[in-house]
Amino acid sequence: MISYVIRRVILAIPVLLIVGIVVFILVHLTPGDPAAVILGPDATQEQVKDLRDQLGLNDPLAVQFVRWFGGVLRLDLGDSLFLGMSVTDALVERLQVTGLLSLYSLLLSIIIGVPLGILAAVKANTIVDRALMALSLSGAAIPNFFLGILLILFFAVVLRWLPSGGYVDINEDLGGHFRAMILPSFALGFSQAALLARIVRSSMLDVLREDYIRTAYAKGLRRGRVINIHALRNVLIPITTVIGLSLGALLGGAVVTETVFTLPGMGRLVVQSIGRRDFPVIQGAVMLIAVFYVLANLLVDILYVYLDPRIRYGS
Amino acid sequence: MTANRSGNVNRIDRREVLKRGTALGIGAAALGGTQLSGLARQEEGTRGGVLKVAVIGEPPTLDVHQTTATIVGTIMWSVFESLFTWNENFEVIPMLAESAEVSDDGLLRTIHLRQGVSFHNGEEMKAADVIASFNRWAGISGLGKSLMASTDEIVEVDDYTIEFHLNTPFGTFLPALSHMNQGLAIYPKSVIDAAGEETLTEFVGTGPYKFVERQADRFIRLERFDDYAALEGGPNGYGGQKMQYLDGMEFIPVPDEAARLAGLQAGDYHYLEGFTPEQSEILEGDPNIVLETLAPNTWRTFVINWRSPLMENQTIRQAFQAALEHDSIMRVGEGEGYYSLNPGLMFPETAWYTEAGGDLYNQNDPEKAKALLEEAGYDGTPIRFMTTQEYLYYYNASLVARQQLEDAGFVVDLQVYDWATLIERRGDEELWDVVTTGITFRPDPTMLSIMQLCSWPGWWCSERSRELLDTLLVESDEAVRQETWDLLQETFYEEVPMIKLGDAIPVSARSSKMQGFSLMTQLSEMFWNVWLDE
Repeated sequence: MISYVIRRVILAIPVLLIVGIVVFILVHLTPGDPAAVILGPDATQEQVKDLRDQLGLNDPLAVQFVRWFGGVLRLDLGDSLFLGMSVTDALVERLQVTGLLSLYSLLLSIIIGVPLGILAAVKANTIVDRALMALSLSGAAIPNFFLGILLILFFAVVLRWLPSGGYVDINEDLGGHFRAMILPSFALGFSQAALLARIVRSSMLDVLREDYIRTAYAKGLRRGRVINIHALRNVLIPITTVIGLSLGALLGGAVVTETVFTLPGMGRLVVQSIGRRDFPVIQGAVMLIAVFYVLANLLVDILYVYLDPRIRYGS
Repeated sequence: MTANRSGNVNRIDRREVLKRGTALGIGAAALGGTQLSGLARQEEGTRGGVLKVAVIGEPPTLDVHQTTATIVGTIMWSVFESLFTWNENFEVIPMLAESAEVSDDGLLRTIHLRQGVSFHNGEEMKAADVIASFNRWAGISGLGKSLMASTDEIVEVDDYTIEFHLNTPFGTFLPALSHMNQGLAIYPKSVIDAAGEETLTEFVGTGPYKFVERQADRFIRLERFDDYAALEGGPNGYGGQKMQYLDGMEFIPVPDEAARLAGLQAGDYHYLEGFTPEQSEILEGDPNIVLETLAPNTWRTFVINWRSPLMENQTIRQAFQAALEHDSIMRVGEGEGYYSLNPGLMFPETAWYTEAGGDLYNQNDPEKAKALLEEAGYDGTPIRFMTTQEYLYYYNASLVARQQLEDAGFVVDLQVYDWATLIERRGDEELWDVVTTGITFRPDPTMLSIMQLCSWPGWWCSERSRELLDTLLVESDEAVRQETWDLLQETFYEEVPMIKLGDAIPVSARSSKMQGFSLMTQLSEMFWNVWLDE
């Protein structure tokens, strides 16, 4: 098992190198000039050229790449052209927001999605099942920015219960933090909950038709025990896969949710950095996301072993 | 000290006033509301509270010297101050300067500084700081570079006196040192030296609010500067007494328009920077929100590439001009009621406004355009017309213009880019024929971005325009300057370096709790006189 993990980690290195080269080339081949953005709309070419010189953007691409990648190897991602801080600091600061937002959304989607999926499977083809599946279909269909705006209008503008946006640091004010995160987590988690409920329902239905379930009932076990212990454990594998995949979806959805709710997260940082061509930040963020994906996949593969004793890696 | 200062103001007024009485009628009528709110504000504000302003995005920098981007001025002109600034009629008045003198030949300019003005880091502002700031600014800003080219030597006479020895009389010397986007903000010499060639990382000024903290994409926080060296006698335009009612200000980047509106309605923000007037309908009728029309500070334009093989032909440019009907372009771009049509390159709110050359403005004459195209032997080469959807008004205006141009016989290749790409491509004369942009308010015509002749993208560069601009730059007789400006605007309409479409009329949206807000926002908003009614 340990040798398997080590092998996977070593295999990640060429992946990250390729990601690094591709993102660097893409970012620098895209038209658009950070110097012109900084100087504003009235700048002349001479001013733009001077600033490009100062920022080192007029050096040959190969020189810039070596300078950047050399830094990456020393875990130095360079400095942002706009934010007046190092890329690492900027990313770490944002990671907290996006990480917590994704975590809360994931928890919400599990708390809502799994029980409802089980309920729908148990009550399959009844009115309860139909109603739940209709709800989950609309949940999966509603775009999260639209749900976000509806939530803001109702809870912030009409009822004034919750703030319309903005972020409160968890260390500064715990209550304020949760008040600020309720709406965005729900906006982001709702569609995942809907998706999860559908997967849980169909996997559960498959399992419930298995022989060992009939055996469990035949030996006199109570229904609750059969479903929660015998059936659910076997549903965990597809659920884990979906949750692992949904991490990616959550990160993608976080871009939009962060914009609607004015949260200073990774997604918003990346989108804005692309808009203003903040090359070091774009490159650093993509590298970080790549690392994150590699780790998430690894984690899911390792979890399989614990969830399903039949799965073995390596010798 | 006050009496002494007002004496100096008069001296500057006599020599340097940019406006003449004749045009004050227009300005006063349009800005009547501003002046009333300015007067009504006196001494009645409540102290305390933090103003929350939703801004459209993260500012590209906090260094005022570095950029013309409006958002930077909106935030940082509460932190920094300039030597001179503008009163309610856009006349130059001293701010950090005490007074200024000019020799009879116009070649020696002496500036006396106020004493006892403290920077936020505790240092006193002295001549060395001003000179260091000037040198830094003059290395970046276009206006600063041209002033530097006219300067032989800057002499630090004593801690509070500076002499500029010029090689040509620079008629707009004081306006050039006044408050504006990318203006000469005075920084401490120690901060400039510490930054060296690198970008500035400390933001220390003399202003009524000091910079405290920036958390990118979360907020920029300013706090009242308790040792602020305030003038007396109440606010006066961008200058005079700065009231400092607020404990602090927070500028919160909220790029999503729906989120901005909802935040204002929910009471999370007091003011929306860069409010789109067409959104007024959504907010109308909300008793907690005040909507007010502001004086225009941008005119929309199609800039023509003076150096492109196609558009260097003046007859083709004139055909382009004749083909357009501005009313529908502006209506679709800005929305009904949020634009005005006039030929002035200087806004009607300034004394410089003129309708010279106006018979060539908004011609709506496709037949004339066709005839001119035929005369020019236009061969159907597509016009590479660049625009952006990031500012929807430009895109929408371009769509209408394309239709009008095609009706007159032009072939149009509309190219849509994101903003960062557009401004990069705009710098390369090979890549385009026409581009959409906006020209922002300047109190003096020589400061308009388009007056950086031969270097500002579009590269308008005719002998006639350069001669007239030179006169405008060195001449200090106001009557001659106005006459020259009339001729320059006429030349603009004959040579067609760009099309002035019309003025965009901005609207301010703010919480009814926010009081003392001046509608004089052409250069930047003034938040230092605002207070909050709780």
